[in-house]
Amino acid sequence: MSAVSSRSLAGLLGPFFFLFILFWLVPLIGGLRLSLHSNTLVGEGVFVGLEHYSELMEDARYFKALRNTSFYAFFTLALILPVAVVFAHALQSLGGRLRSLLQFAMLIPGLTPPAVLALLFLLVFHGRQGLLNQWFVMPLGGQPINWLKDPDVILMALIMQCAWRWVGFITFFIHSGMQAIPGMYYEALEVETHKAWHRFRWVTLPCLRHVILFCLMYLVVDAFALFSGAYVLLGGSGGTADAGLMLVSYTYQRALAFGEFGSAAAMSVSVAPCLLGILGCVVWISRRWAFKSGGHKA
Amino acid sequence: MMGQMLQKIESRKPRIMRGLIWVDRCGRVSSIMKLNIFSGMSRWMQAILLGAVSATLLSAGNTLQASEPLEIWISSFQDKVYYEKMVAAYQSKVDSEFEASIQAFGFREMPDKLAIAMKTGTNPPDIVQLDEVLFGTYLAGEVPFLDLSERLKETKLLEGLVPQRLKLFAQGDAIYGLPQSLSAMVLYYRVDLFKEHGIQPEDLSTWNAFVDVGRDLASKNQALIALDPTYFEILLRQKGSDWFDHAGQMFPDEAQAEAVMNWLYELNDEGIGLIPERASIFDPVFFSSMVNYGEVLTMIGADWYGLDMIQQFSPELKGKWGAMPLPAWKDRFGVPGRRTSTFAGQGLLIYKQSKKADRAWKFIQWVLEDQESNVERFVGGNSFPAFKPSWADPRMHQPSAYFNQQAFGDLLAGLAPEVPEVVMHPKRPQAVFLFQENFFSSLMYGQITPRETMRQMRTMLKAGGD
Amino acid sequence: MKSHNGPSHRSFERWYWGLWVLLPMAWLFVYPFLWMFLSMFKGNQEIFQPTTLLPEQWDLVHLRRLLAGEWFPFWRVLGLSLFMAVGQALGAVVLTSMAGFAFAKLRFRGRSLLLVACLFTIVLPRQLLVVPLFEWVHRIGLHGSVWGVMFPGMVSGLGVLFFTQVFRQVPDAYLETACLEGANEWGAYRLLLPMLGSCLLSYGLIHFILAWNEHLIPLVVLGGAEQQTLPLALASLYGSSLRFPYAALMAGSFVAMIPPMFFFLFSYRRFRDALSNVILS
Repeated sequence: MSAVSSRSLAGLLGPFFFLFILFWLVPLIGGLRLSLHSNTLVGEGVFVGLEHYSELMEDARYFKALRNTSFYAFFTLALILPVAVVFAHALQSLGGRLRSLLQFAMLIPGLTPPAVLALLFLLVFHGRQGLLNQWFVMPLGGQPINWLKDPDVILMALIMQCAWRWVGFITFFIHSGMQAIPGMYYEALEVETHKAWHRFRWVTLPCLRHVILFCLMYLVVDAFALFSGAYVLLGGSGGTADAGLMLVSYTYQRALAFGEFGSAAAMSVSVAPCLLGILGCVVWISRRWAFKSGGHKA
Repeated sequence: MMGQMLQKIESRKPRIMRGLIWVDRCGRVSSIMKLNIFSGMSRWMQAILLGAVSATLLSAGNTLQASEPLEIWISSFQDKVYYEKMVAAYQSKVDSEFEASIQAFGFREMPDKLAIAMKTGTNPPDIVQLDEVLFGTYLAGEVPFLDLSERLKETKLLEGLVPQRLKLFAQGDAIYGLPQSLSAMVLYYRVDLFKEHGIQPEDLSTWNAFVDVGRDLASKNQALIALDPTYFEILLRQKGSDWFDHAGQMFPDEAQAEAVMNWLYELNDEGIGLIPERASIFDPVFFSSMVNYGEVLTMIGADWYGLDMIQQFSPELKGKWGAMPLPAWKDRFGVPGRRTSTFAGQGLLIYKQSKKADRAWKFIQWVLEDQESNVERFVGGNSFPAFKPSWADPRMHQPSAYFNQQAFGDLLAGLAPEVPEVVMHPKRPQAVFLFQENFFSSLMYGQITPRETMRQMRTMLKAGGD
Repeated sequence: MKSHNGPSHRSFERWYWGLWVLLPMAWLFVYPFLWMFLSMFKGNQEIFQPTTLLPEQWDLVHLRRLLAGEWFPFWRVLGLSLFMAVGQALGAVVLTSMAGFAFAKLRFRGRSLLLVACLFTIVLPRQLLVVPLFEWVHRIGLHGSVWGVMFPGMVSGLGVLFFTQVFRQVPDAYLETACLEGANEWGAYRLLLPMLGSCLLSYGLIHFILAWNEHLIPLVVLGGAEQQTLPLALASLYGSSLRFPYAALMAGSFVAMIPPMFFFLFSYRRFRDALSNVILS
């Protein structure tokens, strides 16, 4: 399909990019401007050039936040994706009614309103009285862990809440993807091998490529650009010794808690290329992967 | 591509006009529910394409009318109920024409919403209820609130409000807001457990005596006090120092600040103090566990802490709580100092660009001066008012069933002259935030020294003082 | 127990293996919902006892007070939230699927550039945009209007990427057939849509949930007590004072969860039908 009439192209892309320009590009330019002006709480600041950016480079908290966020993104991915694949597999092995029911149950955490999550996490991750300690840590003979105050475990608590919230959704997607795989692929493979692992490696995984890619992106973006988890758990702060300081929570702190809109804007802008790089890598890897497994199938 | 599209739109002008009317009707949310939404759905695409264009044209018609109601932003639902009552009372007693629209925001949402409205100067409220801790932020640069000092001169408020509280929302000679509450700090204690351990409130007249009593209890594995990050500021202020001095220097008296930090550390270290699991005495679970199990005997809190928080979260301890003045610090000659301190508390402010400033001022003046509205604040379990003439009311001195038949109001009124002044500074909110969220726990667990804490905080806040 | 759309390789997998893994997990996932539901009946101190699950008494007074609009005009707020979330999801699905189709199936100049631009919308946090967006939305007169929240919400880079991937999977043969029959690109897109019902629905579902729980943009753009979304109204009940019954917050949140659940249940059935269509064709 090479010849494309500009009319239908405009029809297809026009509406989206119309809103894109109006409600994204224009504010973005405003955001960039903001990042080049001084931090004033009221009205527009003075032009300061790249001062906020150079300040960032000397800000230890910024790098701490960057480190925490990368760590968080990596471990949520490493935790959620395999678990979701296992769950999806487990769902496959169940019958209709039960399967729908379980699948539905798994989606609940993702549907719960943030206001309730804040309360719930307070009770789950609370110190000695918290559910996690009362039901899991202490019965297993462990010392109660102060999840949200002990700097060594804050990040772990953050990762756990993320896994808990999103694993159901990711499972849902992967499972849907699995169901869409035509049975004949498996039958074709049966000629060559009977090992379950091979079926998974050579049919399921390649067919789920796009779904997994999408989930991957969603989780990376959730870690870097969405605020929900950190906000709900730590209320926009970084916790003891900034052990749970995420980039978004730091941005939020600077902008709305401290009124330093310019610095906050600079911070957000500075993350974009880095995140774009990560996403680019993800896409690139998946392309290569597609090529390799496609080659094998042929 | 784009040109073609525009041409197309141009050639369909009548449809645009219809679209405009449609968007106009739908744009007003209040009317949206009356409209049949789904009849519009078929025109979805049209609306998307034309909505923004037409909206640009519509914005011209967005003008302010003088008879619009006063916009009041309140930072909690409970206070909204109070102010709705007050508006109704104001209408019936003073001005039947008066109209106000009161909006409550979550206590986390309010600062966000306000900061953005102020930053962009777009649709800010006329009156805003703000906590004094958050107010500091607005002192950096041009203050977006109206200076009330001229207006105050002709009123009873100037004499009537506790003078230290009058300086709360102030900078230099300008007064940007008026306090609702006295926010005097007292020591809340368990009457029943004090009796059990043979402690008299009179024994705790100084912090030294307090520590002695605490040591005895600690040897019996009983903690005396629950610790909270706010204590640092409260105790420092009780000693006569503060985060900043009037010249803007952070930690003006390093020795005092260090002493308070060390003192708090030692309380915890010796088992006299107990840190709640979430390191906060404002955590509801703290009440349902530590407080209810009698693991701590005392807490430091302001009038509103006892009127609201304690009563709400430990109703079963009714009659078992008492309140007393804070133990005093002894100065270097051994002379005990003041028996109270202060921290936080709401105030009312008027937005500088408000077109209804006069009406707003009249309402504020009335709310703060009116006897009934002041009494209502205390009796309704909100806070103890800072307006002295209102204390004459007998209802302010009635014994409280919750506080073991103690006349809570008497105690507070007696402490009022000693309430210290708060030194405002643009960086103070950040200092409070950082200390609470980052440094308190590190300090208490001995991961950082007081000196290092001060050094790091100064660097983070880019505040002078070295 | 034969499922018509599952792969037929269940012979070696014992079904209870799945049950073993999933049932304890299901409890973990359902617990908050249960807790929220049961907390509707509880008093404040009861709610803050972490290990207490069952309420002391079963009294629906808080739910009734909430529905009667004691704290905020409940039904209007609910209706407004629904309208905004559904509208936003619908708009996003239509717009991004159109763009996704163009990106996946049409070759034109500047394609990669535009795609990268879409990627950018995902990676820049909303916090950056909120101040200028608010100013801009006000300038074009959409301040205090639902459209001021819905239009920005429809600009979803995630959706564009999603649909680009989805349309890439569709064999070009379908498109060629469509073109042979004389349809242009627009027609081809319309022809493909019904086949992708499941994808449209699943993206719509995600977007609906994101829009339903969205907090920052509605907080800033919408004004007035008349114009609250459910999350905002619920958040405003969380005050600095604690006299407010938290059970009402729980009741409100419980009601707030019903639409996404309903939406999901509804789409789930469609979802499976759509999937089997894809497989059969």
